[in-house]
Amino acid sequence: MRLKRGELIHVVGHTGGVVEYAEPSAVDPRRTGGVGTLFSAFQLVSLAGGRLAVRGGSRVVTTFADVAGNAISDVLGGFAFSPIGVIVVAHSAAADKHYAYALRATDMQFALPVGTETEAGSRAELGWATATIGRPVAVEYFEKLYVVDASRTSRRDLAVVNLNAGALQVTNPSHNIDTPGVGVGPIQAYTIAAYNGVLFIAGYDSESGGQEPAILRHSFLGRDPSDPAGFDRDAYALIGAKGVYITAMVPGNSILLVAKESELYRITGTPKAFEGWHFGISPLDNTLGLGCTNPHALAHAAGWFYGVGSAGPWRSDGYRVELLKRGRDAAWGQVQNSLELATVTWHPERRRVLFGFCAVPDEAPEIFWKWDVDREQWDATDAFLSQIHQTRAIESNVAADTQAPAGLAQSFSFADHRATALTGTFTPGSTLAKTEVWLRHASLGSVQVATLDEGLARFTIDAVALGLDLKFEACFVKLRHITGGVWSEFTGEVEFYPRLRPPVFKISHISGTPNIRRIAVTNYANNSLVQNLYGDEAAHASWLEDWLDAPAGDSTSDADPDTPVSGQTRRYELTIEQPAFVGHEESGLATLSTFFIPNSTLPNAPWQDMAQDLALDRIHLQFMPAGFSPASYEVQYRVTGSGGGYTTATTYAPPASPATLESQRITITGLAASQKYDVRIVQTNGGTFASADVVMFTKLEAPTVAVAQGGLSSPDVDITVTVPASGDGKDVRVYSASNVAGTPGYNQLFVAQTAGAHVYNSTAGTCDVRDQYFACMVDSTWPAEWTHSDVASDEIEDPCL
Amino acid sequence: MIPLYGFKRSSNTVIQLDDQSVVTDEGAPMSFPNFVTSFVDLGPAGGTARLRRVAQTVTLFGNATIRLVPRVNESEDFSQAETFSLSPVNGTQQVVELYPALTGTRFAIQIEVLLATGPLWFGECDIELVPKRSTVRA
Repeated sequence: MRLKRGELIHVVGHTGGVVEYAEPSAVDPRRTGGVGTLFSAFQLVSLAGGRLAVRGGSRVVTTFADVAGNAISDVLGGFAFSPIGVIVVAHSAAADKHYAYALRATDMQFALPVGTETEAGSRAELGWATATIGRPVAVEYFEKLYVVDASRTSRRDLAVVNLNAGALQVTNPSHNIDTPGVGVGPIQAYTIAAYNGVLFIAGYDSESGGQEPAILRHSFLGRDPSDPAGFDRDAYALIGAKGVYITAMVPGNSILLVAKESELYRITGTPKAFEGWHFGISPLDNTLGLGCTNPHALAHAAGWFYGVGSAGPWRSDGYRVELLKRGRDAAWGQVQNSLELATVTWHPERRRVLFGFCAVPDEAPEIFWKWDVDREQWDATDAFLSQIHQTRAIESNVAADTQAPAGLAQSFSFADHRATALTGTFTPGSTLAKTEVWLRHASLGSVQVATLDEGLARFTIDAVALGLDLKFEACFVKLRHITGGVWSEFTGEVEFYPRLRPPVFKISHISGTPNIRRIAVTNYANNSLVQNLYGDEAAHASWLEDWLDAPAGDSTSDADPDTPVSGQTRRYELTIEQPAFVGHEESGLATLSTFFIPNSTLPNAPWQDMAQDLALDRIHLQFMPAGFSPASYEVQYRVTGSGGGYTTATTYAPPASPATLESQRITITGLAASQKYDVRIVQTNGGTFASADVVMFTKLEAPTVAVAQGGLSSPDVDITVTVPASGDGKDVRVYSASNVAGTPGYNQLFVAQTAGAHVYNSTAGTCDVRDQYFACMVDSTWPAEWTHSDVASDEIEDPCL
Repeated sequence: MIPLYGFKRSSNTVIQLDDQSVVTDEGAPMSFPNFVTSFVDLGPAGGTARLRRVAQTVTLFGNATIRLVPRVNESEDFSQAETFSLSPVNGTQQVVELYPALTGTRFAIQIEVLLATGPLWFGECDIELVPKRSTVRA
């Protein structure tokens, strides 16, 4: 209701900012577009549309448990770390330790080990074993987080945090700066920043010079700064007056702004991989005596540097600086407490710079002034019940839009279907993202087993390298991309299964009549394998023994007790089956022959033991002695087709009693790779009686491969494959990883290649997308699992010039 | 909204700040949100006037209790303050009106949020002054 004679002052919104003691004529909404300014404001925030809103509340998102009974007493800071999300540094006064915790940026929960995250698995000691708290300042540089301590007394050593084999690792490296080769020491810098490809540390001279507040050093371009030689002794400069601290450093606006307590400097330039200092140094045009009180009192936001010094909050474009205290003088008088603990934090989405102050002399801020970077004015002040060492806006999903990989499938091509290795292909959702490969197996749980480089779409899980016995059980594989520390969704799990190998078995005679052969077949685990035992001799073709869901260990059967007939041979063949492995349900045959009645002068033929891996220099075989002592056996071999004499590999003297006669496992060593051998058993008692030759194989030796860009601006890759001498005359298969749903972009078989280097050319692939090439030797006359050698590979970052 | 995290002193916790999903600070009532407008007057040489009406628009998504306190010549006058209990049942857009009768040369409004169980916004505001008869207008 309007009043008679009343004069109306209409305020369209209280969003004109906080201006203390402003003269009405200066802030009258009738003169300032209707927007009202505020004398003071707390716990509010200006929104669009002239609304002044009550700020949101605060809530606990992460709680750290006691460590070995010692409570975490302070949470000192958090730093975005792209390989994981966030690294939080905390302190336990009871334990006299500082800890680094790896948290996910998405929800601030424990991040490691990925898939089975635990607090203990996400924690590592920082190497700061002190009862008092440190002041961590950190910067990420090439997938490592460098943490220094902004303490002026009892300063702690540089800590380097990184991921190593999926676990959080912290090191406190020693450096050799002053006199290379003589003495090392830990870096004890006051603050740290990354700028133009190198790391800057301030407040540290060298292992002999110790701490020096005004010295600024940069790392050697191209060297890992955590390496002892990561800093060159001459790459330093004295900034301003000696003895006066460099307090803060932040890159922005193409410079590194270096602050002292009442000075500001511009660092500009580009480093080179030479010794010495490579940057220009100049003070700002008008420093005004402004500076920063500590490393956390400086931030770069929306084209401006914002800082807090003893004279108040300020901003700078990197050339000039202006004080922002005007209009807040009264409030400034109330927050000039413990300014050495003041913080400046940028929140890009709220478009506010938060200046953290202590309401009273204390140990951490709880009052936060908010500077509105768009309206260029002070917004309402926030006051929290808690004291906060640091505040940080941490984005949770910068790359969440990355599509998950697609078309994940097991590969049965080439040499891919192995008993101890699983190979898969897929189509990347993004060629800019790395790909994590995860495996779930009954004896392993779900674990990450590999990370593929960007653009690659083929992987092999080597169970031997993982120390994992696949036990012929189905495995489940899933993938997800990771880019910028953020993961895509997982693909669905896809069933992979290893190749079924012929079973391990043994024949033994049992005393008595008839002469029963006992056959023991080893099952690998409590899986659902079906094991079949066949007797193939014509008169006993119907003899069959199956074990369904065979238990782990040996299953035994006493084979076909029938009338002994001298000179009759039995051959036993065994397979294992897994009906779930559609298309690959049955293993190859394991075979052993034996004379029905022991003590024949003729030996039984040997069998290559295919239950084991083929080897480059040896052959594993089994044979059943046909007689007992005084029979004597030799295992002999020669290169197939050589027509030469045999070499005796070893001898075997059987026991005197037939009751203890059993099949023997023999290994012939000292053989050549990629070779076929005729192997036979010779009985030498009372003459020389040889079994038939059996062709056995050593493993095909792999070639080497190196790829290089071929010179064209379109995909052009030269693939140099070196065929080993043992592979002379064999075929070479070359294929690439660039694939869509399992089809390699490049796939060629080169027949009958001579030993030595061969260069092949590929025009497959996509410019700017990494690719990988594989090469292996091929001989189709080798046993099924071993027709291809192991695969050699090499990557090319860009197939185009 | 990108979360804003705070790393607490004398604590084993990380907190999220300015989280619109909660209206308390870690379960405890937030220190009262409040603001004081800059002083207004009737212009250069405007002389004395009486503050007679304040109308403040409020948008609320939960129950709220707010208090309007008039300020004259840089001091509060709680004797003419008024507390309003608001509920969104009566509409999310509401106007609270205060009818003080205070004489002075400069006037401001102090608004305090005593309770807010949901988001609460302040929008437009009218401040109505009645010039004193003896005032000589510029």
